Amino acid sequence: MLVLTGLMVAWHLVTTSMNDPMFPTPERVWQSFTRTWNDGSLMEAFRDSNSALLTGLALGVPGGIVLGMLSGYFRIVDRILAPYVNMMLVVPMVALVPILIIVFGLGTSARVAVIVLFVLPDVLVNTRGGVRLTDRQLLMMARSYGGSTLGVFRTLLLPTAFPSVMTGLRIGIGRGITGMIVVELTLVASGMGGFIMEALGRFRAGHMIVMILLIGLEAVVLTTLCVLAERRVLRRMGA
Amino acid sequence: MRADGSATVNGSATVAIRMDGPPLEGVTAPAGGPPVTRRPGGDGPPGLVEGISLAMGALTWELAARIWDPAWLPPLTRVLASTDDIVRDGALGALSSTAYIFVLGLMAAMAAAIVTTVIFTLVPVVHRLARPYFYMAMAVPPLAVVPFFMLIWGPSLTARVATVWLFTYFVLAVMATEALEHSPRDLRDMAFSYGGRRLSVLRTVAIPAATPRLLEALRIAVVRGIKGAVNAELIIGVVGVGRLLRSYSAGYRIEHLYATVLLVLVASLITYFLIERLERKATGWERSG
Repeated sequence: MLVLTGLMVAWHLVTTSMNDPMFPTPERVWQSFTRTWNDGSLMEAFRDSNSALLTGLALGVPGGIVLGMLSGYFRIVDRILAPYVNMMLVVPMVALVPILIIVFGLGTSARVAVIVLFVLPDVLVNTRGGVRLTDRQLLMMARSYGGSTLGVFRTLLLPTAFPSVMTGLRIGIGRGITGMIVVELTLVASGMGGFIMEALGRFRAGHMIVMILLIGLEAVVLTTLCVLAERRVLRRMGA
Repeated sequence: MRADGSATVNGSATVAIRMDGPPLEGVTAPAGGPPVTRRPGGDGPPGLVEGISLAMGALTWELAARIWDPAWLPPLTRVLASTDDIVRDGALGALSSTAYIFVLGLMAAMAAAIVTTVIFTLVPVVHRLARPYFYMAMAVPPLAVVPFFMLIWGPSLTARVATVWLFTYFVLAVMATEALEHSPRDLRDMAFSYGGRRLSVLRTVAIPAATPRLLEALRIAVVRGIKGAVNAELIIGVVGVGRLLRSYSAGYRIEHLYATVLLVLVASLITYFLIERLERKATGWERSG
């Protein structure tokens, strides 16, 4: 808290002494916040972006979990998917955004597709890692007692992989927000990214900083909620 | 930093990763532990299944594009044939421009991260105070800040280099500090007991012991830096690969757009494998025990 106060004071002192509209004081940023909050533009952009984010997460997270479980369990699936997953992890996905825009158009589906593409690899890799941690003896015992493949997945692999799935979800959320911003900043000027680009066009540094802080806050809050949910579930599981 | 290569950056977030695939952006992944007993069918010479998978992917692409013929999917052969055109349009120059800002941004981030790490290691109270803000900064998508750089510096080299810096600095500083903190305590205590000063112990004991983890941090930073450079150019959009992607996209030159994406893909993979090779070479002593 002391550091935060110190940072705010330093921000105030530096920006006041600079007296440059590109570097607004905290008071001016607060004014920008109240203005955009009152005229509804802030919340409208927030809602617009987050509806795409939620849809993207709803598709990308289960997709990543299923593919991660399969590639963690079946070696052949892992080897087939490996080149593509590795590429998705190393290559800047933003380069694919123009192609996705051509495929899906400038609507919500393109934004959702980009978010899915950003979220899926991290969830997949973490889930795969979690499945690999499964105790071999437990797995053999489950099979020797006649456990079906589906039963083994549900009762053994999924609980074992749960902490890793949650780690993947946490990272996936961060990546999803990045994907959401990428597409809105580059080609589909709407939502939170569109708000920032509009503020850039009108040289409204205060508005821009408000949205940057809101995006940062959203990332931190969602990540923290994920951590809390993970701890709660793990406690219930007796881990 | 654990033996499996993953590093706990805070209580619950794990940063840096290393599994049997390329390591990852930003974070995670438990590896190691007893492997699951796999179903048969996936064994074979290393790279064979993966190669067949890639070949099948390429064949599917070609056939789908020729039979289905959607406007957005040109045949792979036509994409590869248009490579000549994009080279004539200055793709290699664009790629070198992107590489230039990547190198500048990464160097600047490394310099800043070295200073930060030394301060954090020598003055732990500063690390304790700054740590939550560094973790927070790592959770925030750096891309959101790029327009602010454009506002301050315009579509300039500085704005693009600053973007790469932002993508790489925090991960370098956090992972390097973690690496040094987790260097063997007994060695450091021994050095102190022989009268070593903090800075000399850091230089002669902690840094050499942390070299593998430092190189791992560099590898992750390289991946993030490439992403930062391409992101910056696509958003700022006046130079480099970003300009090519934007112009081909706006002109609906699909084959050229795909060819540029493939070029970025190949360049990223080559850079990644080079840095991974360097890391393996430099840390061979650790693996050999």
